[in-house]
Amino acid sequence: MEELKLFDAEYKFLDIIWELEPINSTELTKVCMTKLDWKKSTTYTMIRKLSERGILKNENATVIALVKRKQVHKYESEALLAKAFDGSLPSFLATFLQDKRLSKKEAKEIQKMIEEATK
Amino acid sequence: MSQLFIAVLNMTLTASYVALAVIVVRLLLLKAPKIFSYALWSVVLFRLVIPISFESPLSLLPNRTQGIPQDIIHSQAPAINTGMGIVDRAVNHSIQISLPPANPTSSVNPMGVALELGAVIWILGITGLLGYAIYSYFRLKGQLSTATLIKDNIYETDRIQNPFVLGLIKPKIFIPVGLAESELNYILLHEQIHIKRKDYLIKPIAFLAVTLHWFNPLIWYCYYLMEKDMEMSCDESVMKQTKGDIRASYSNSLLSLSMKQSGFLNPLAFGESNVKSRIKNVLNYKKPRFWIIAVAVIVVVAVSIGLLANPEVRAENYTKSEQLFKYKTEYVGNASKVGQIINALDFPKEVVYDYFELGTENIPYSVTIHFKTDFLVESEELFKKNAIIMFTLIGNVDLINFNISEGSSKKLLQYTRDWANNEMGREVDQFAKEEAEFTQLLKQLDYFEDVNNSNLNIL
Repeated sequence: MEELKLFDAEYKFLDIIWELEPINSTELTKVCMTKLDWKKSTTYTMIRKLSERGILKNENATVIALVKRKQVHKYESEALLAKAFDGSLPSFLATFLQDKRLSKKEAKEIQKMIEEATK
Repeated sequence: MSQLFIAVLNMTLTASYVALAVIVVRLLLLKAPKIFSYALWSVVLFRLVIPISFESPLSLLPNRTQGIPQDIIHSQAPAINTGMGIVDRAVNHSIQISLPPANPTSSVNPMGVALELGAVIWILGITGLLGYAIYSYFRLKGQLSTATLIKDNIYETDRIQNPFVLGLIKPKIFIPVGLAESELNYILLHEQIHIKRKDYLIKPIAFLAVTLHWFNPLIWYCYYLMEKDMEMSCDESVMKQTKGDIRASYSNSLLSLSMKQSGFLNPLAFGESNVKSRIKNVLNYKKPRFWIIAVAVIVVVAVSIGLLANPEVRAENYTKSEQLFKYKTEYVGNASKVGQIINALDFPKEVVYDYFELGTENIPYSVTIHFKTDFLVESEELFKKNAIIMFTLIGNVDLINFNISEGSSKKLLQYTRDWANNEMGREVDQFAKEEAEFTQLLKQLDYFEDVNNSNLNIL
C-alpha cells in the first residue's frame, strides 16, 4: 500500500486513536478537547472526513483506525521549515529561489545585510 | 445621509492634512525608537473618527472657515473653503462647470443630488469592505479550527505560513508547524508583546476608521505605514527584553518566515509584513540613548497637540473679510458673484436660507433673499449689517429685501442704499475701494461678534 500523506492535525488525531483505540466517539472528543483544545464539532468533522477517506471507521459510536502507523507519512507542506535546515542561510536561499515572492537579488541583499551587520 | 457624508468629507480633509504632517515628522524620527512614530498615528486616528476638537493657538492646522459647509446643498453658488487655495480653486471650478446652475424655481438641486449620490456610493463602499473583512475573518477561523494546542494560548497548524495573533476577546497565538526551537522563543515573545500592547484590538479599530475613508488613498497609505511601525516597534521590544545581542538570529528568523503574506486586506488577523525593512531595523538596533528619547518625546507631544487642536476662531476675522471682498462686483446682474457674497454672509441661526432673486428689469435694481424659519426672528441687527455689506460690495444695487417666511406669515425687511449711506455717514461703496477699508467696515459693524456667535465651528 502506498504511503498516505496526512496533514499535521490529522496525524496528531490518529496518534491519539492509535494510542486509545477502540474508543467511544464521545470519549474521543473529550480527549481531543484536553490534548488539542478542539471543539466537539471539530473532532466529529475530523472523524467524518477521515472515515470518508477510509482511514478510520466509526461504527456504533466506536472509532478504530484502519491504517497502521507505518503506512502513514507525515505531510510536509511547502511552508514547513524542516528542522534539517537548522538555521543555515544558504539552504533558506535555495528554498526562496523557488518562491516567487522573494527575488534572488533580494535574498542575496538580505543575506549580505545580515553578514555585514553582525561581523 | 448627505449630512453624515459631508461630515466625513470634512474629516477626511483634516485627517489628510494631519497625515501628511505625521509622515513628515516620522522622517525626522527615523533615528528614534519606532514606538514614537507608532504613537503619532493615534492623532490621525482621532481625526478620522472625531469631527470636533478643542481650539488652541498652538494648532498647526491651516485656517479655514467650514471646509465643506453643511449647507452647501442650499447654496446658490456651492463652493468649498479648505484654506488651501489650490484645492479650493480646483474643486470650485469643477463644481461650476459640471453642475447646472441652481435654479431657484426648480425643485431639483444639482448639488444636493450629487451629494446624495456620493453618500450612497460611500455607504456601498463601506459595506463592501466590511463584508470582505468579515468574510475573510470567518474563513480564516475555519481553517484554524484544527489547530492544536501547544500550551497557554499558543496553537500550531500546518495551514499557515506566518505566525500571528487572532481573536478579539481571547486572543490566541497561531504558529506554523516546524519552527526551529531557536526561533520559537523570539516569535512567541514578539506575539506576546503584541498581545500585551493590545495591538490585536488596535488593528481592527484602525481598519474600521480607514473603511470610513475608503475613497482616500492617503489614509490607506497611512494604515500601511502604521502597520510597519507597529511591527518594528514590537521587534525593538523583543530585542530590548532579550539578553545579549540577538540581531543575527532574530534577522534569520524573520528571513525564514518571510514567505507569502496573508494579504494586506486581512486586517483582523495579525499579519507580519515588510520583512526587509524590519530586518534592516533589527540590524540597526542600538540601545536608545537618553537624549534621543527625550527629543523624541518632546517632538511627539508637541506635534500631537499641534495636530489635535483646531485653529482659533479669532484669526478667522480677516479671512471673513477676504471671503466677502473677493466677490465684489459693479453689477447686480452678476448672479454668480452676488451668490458668492450671500453665501459668505452670516445670518441668524434661526433662519434657513432658501434662495435669492435679482430685480434687474427696472430701477431701483434689487436683490431679494428668501428665508424660511420656524421661529420669530428676534432682531433685525444682522440683516441691517448684511444689507450694508451688500450695498458696499455690489455696485449698482439700490434696494435689498429680506423676505422671511415665518410659518404661514411673511415678514419683509427692506433697505435702500440711501439708508445705508446714512447709517454709515458716507457713500458705502467707498469702503469697497481697498480690502483694508472693507475690513474696517466689518470692524465698525462689529460684524465679527456676530460671526463668532452664530457659527458652529466644526473642523
